[in-house]
Amino acid sequence: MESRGSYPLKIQNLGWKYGDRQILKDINLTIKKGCFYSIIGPNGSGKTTLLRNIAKSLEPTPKSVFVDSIDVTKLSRRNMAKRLSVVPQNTNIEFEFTVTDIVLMGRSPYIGRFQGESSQDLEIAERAMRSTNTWHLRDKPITQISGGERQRVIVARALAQDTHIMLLDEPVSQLDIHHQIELMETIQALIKDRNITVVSVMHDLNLAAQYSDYIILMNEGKVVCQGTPHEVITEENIKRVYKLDSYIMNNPVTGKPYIMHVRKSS
Amino acid sequence: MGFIKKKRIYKYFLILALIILAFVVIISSTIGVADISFIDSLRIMVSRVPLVGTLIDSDGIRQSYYFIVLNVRLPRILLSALIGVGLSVVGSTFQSMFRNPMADPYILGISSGASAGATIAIVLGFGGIIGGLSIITLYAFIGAILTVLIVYNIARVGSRVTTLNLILSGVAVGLFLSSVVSLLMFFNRDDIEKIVMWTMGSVSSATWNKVRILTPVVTIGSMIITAYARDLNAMSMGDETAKSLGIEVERVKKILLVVSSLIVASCVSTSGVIGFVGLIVPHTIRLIVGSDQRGLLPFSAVWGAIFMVVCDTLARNLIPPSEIPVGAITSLFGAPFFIIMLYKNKKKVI
Repeated sequence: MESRGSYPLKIQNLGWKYGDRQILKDINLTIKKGCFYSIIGPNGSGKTTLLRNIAKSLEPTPKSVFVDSIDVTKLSRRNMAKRLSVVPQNTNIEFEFTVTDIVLMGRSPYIGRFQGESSQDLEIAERAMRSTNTWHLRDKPITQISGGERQRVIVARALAQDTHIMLLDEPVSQLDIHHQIELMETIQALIKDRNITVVSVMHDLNLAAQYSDYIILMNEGKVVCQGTPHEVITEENIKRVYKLDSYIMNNPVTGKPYIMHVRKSS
Repeated sequence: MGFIKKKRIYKYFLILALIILAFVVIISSTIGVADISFIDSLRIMVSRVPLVGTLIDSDGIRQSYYFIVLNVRLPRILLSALIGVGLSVVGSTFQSMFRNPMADPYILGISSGASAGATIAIVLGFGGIIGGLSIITLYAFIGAILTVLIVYNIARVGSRVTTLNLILSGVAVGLFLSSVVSLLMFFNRDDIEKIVMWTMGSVSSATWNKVRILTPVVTIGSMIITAYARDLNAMSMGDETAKSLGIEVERVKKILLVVSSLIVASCVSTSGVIGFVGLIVPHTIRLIVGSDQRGLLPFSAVWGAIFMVVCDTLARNLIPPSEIPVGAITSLFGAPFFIIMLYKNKKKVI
């Protein structure tokens, strides 16, 4: 057995049914500490369902998802929220809270029912806002900032949760290219500085290849292939899963695989 | 400014609001056919407070004034205040819990359930009193609770309830019961006036008994809800986010539903359907103090009470000796006020 510190997240024979439809089939994953994992795959391949099972926002079957070697079905939500934070796909917030209030919500798992936020909580929130470049927005209502800013605020909230695992569901798919790169670099810096482990559903294969240490390729509820970007992003895999012909070269700057030319497979 | 920074100022504003409420209560007790001065009314009320009461010099106050203030006006004022607190707190809770600015305390069909219960009692000619409460009140309460149970069980999938299912089944069951009430009225034309007057909402039947029953339900209930203010904040971001922030969403939802339903059922069954309070008081407060429930709940409670006492004072004094149903007053004066607030805060409103 590996020591629990180096593999914060493990998934064993995870299946998930929605009604009669089998959405996830026999998923097995071992996630290494301090790495960026991307989950990629076509629409409906089960990426988000997998993420929700890990986050326990769906109820996974017992003994299939382990956080710090503990079965998540045995962890209280509060205890879970101290280990694992989530940046959801839809971050629309309709009610008027200030950015600071939103980020402070990340401290909820640490604050008792009849307690208020301590000065330490405020410090942690400030640090989270500074490292996501949202500190200047602190007094603004969340309803009055741009989509890119809001996404960074939600990442700040996840950071304020002070967890060593962070799950993200397509964090950049609604952002323009500038904000995409900015957010990806923020997350990369966080992994370096805090040694946290990140698992993110990604839509853009080139972004996934550029920033991930490992990529998990899913199709029809199963993990088709997992490994380094070079091992997963291959012309053969792209053809098999996305039914596309492609030409893949190494990005001359990053040295990572880059998908150049795409056409529907005949 | 965030909630944390405003916390200090809020404390003073809340104390100020409580002082305003006390004044409104005393002023309201002086208004009516019998003209009683502010000081006399205050002396009469304080004379009934244990220990302090003996120190009050009660010379020169007519004995009948004691009866009017203590047994006619005060129970009614206190009952309106309690209903104002209950409806505003639950309205504010439901708006966050259902993530729906149009949610009011009656969204789960509680009002229709209570009306159906009361209508059945009226139609059957039950006029007696059990345990200090009229049978109509008891039937209304049972109707309200049964409705919530039915709505909850329709919306339930396993042990989970989604908020959308709750709203939809609440609306559907509510509409069904409304048509039951209409049919009952149609077949019992002699009782129509009584039924309509009941559903319009009024606190004119206030007694100390009702106050005694409503006080613990509303105060303890509101305190429990306020203890969950932070959870409600997280839940207004969506159930999934709330779960990821460590909140046992399904359990909290159940607790809040039970407490809220008890509060609303008690309010509706003692006073009929008083509309609008639970919708506009929390909204108006939201425009001023923001969406954080830790500020929203206490301010909604106190201003809900003030709003109801003022409305009921108008209801019983605008056209003496007849009474306007307070439910009509709350909408008549509440709606334009709210429209002005909306207009002024166009950009701010959710």
